[in-house]
Amino acid sequence: MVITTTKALTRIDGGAEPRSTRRMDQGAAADGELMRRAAAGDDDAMRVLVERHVARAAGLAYRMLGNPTSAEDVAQEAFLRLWKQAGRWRPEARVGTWLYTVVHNLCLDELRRPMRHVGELDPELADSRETPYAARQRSEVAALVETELQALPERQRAALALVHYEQVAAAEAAAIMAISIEALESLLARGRRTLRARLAGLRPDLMGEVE
Amino acid sequence: MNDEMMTRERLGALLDAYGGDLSRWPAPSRVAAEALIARDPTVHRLLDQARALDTLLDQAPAPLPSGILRARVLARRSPTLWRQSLGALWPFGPVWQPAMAFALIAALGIALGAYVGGPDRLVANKDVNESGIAGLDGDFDEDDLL
Repeated sequence: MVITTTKALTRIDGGAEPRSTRRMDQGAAADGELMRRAAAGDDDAMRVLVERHVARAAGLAYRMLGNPTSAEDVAQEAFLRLWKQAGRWRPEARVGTWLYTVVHNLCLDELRRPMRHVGELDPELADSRETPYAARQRSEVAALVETELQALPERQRAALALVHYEQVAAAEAAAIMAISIEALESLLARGRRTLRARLAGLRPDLMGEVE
Repeated sequence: MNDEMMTRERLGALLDAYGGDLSRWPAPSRVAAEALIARDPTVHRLLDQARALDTLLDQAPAPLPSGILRARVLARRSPTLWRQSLGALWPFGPVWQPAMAFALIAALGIALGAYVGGPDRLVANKDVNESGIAGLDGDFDEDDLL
């Protein structure tokens, strides 16, 4: 698997700034300091980094893989690679962008494996995931939306996961996926049009043409 | 993109791509779109459709990561940092290479030391050398060179 270098990840155009990206920008300097402390073995700094970024990393992996246990395996691997980078971390690099890129690439690798072994996971972890009770709590709408999201082609799903769910700026999402903004917009539009058609039964107001 | 370049078609394409929450849009397009929406009510239906899909998508959030994931991520940090510390001492490649070379040199030194002998033998060798040098000094005859 090819992981984009930290140097490349810092050349991202900051033209678009959705809400979460602004939060990430505000935390970027703090992340650099945390990475410096993490490289020196500061456990507290590592805990803060995990708390700050683990949900985003696991969330993107879940959207791409559709399986919470596989998603957590990917998120764990991404963080292990982050720790390995700590000693060489450049302060201006964004931890969030770096993690998203690694997670995205790991997920593509996982999706392209000839045989995906979704079930061969730590049984303790598997038990901690969605229980029958929790599964019953999921609404029918959520289940249908999730099913249709997972039915999308992987690149459309990744684009939607980054821009809609993770609220990553367009330029940053395009850089993470190593595509142009125009290609990103095309993936997003195709994905959303497909979802709109497939979910029209839930919301009739999804369909219709403008005068 | 400036205000003049924002057409209904372009607005529709952006709504298709980014949805009805303009905070997700690229900033330049956002400003131009807001202006078009304010002056052209016919695009509101497009906007409403995009927002309806956003609402549906938001009803399927990703599950929160487990506490076990956090524990696993943090549990695997120490060996990495240990290797990083070694790496700081030897940044030219795998640390086992200089470590192995050092161990080999140390072993050779110990073996050589055991073979040559202890301090007494070294003193004896020193005496021999000094007498040899004395012999050269005493017995050397330039005629031998002829």
